[in-house]
Amino acid sequence: MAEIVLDKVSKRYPDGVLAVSELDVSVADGEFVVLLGPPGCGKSTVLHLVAGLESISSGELRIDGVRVNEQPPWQRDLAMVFEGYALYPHLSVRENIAFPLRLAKLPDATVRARVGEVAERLDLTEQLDRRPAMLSGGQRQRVAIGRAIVRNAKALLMDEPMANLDSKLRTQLRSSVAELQRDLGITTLYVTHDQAEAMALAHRVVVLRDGAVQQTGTPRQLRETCGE
Amino acid sequence: MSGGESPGKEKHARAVGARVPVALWIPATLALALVTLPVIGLLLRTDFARLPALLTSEASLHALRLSLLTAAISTVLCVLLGVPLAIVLARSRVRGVRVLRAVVLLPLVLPPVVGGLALLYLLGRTGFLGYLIDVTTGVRVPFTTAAVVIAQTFVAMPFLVVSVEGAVRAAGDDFESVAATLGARPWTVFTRVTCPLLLPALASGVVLSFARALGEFGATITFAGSLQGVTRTLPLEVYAQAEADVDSAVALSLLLIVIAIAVIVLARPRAVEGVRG
Repeated sequence: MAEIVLDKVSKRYPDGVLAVSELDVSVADGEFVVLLGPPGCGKSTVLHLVAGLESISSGELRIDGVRVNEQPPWQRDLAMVFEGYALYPHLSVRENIAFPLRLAKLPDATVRARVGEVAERLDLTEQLDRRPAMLSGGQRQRVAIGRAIVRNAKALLMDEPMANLDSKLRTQLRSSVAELQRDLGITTLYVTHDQAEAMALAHRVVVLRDGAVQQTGTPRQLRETCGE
Repeated sequence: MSGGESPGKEKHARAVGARVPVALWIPATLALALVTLPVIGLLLRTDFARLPALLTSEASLHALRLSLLTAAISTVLCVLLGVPLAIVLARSRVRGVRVLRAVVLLPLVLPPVVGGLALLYLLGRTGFLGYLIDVTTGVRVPFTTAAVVIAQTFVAMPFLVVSVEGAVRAAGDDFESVAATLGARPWTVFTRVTCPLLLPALASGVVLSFARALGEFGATITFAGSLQGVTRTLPLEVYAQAEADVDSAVALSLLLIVIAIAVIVLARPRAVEGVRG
């Protein structure tokens, strides 16, 4: 588990667009922080910067106090869930979840056991031998989450993981995501444009606008300021 | 595969609910006739009694062996060179890649004879690269089996590039990004994620390039000539026999048609998807 700190982090694209501007955000060990903002406010870019998929233009990103700006994504030991899930269509659910463990070259028995545990926790045991194409939207999302949490990464990054689900399912899944995060105690940075979702999930919400922090606080604090 | 294809198509037609206007049937029938009647004409002209003898004549066997060999090598070259090119074209954000993409597709629209001539003036004894190779190594490329392979690769590669590039674009880069965050290094991402994802498109690209290489005529005859056993592939043999022994030319044509139909049956559904994607 880990603490993530963004210290005056900026991202300027080669075409001059400033996507993220001197952002200060910290996620404490085991904390669930939601980045909330309208489309195009730079929240997904922040996740990409943390994951190492895009380079930081200025400022410092620290994981457990160590600067990781220059570290490539495969060394950061973070796990990311993408909006479209990006499950590997050529692999079964079992092998999708096992993917990071196979990369780490863990022995077969360990892989089986870990995948079995995760599948049971996410209620995917029946689906293990299916291909992603045969699953429902909710099941796909759970596979994506399973693949991310299976290797006990330092932190979990989630980019609009509910965006592709219908609203009824979204509401249902909020509680299970919150529960999972609590059980695992995993540091989580979660991106959404859905205010209700942010309020339901977060320990702390960071409201982003035009690549900068507009407001930050616990859901209760935000409700109080908005309520008046 | 064709069994699984037809119910899907019926369902699709019903879903759209579009009825084909009667007026379209007339040109559609003509188009179909234009494609099928010549083949039937060829079949009617075939001397089936002499067919086995004609197909197993020394010249035919030479041509067949040479065609299969060169087309296979060309296809391998298309894969080795074309897949990396397709990925670069689809992924690179470097300026000018769009122009490059158009250039790569040139052999697709260029008359093959022109391609052959261009190759001759690059690799011929007077061409700048050909001269260089001749002086430094004593090797002369034109009018050799290697020239056949180069000509075939030249005309066939765009089919592979288009097919694979479309698939890379359609897949996006989330699959690779996920792998990177899950601990995969770039080369591992390429072998474990990119390659398997591209496999269907690659398969259709391979079949299409092989078919194009096998049918290559214009670039080959200009750049490699028509030397029996060395550069005279099946299409060139057909052309040579059309003057000397029409029955033999017809028999060889039939062979090429059989191969072409096999290619269509093997690859068509995926190939069309690949090019469109």
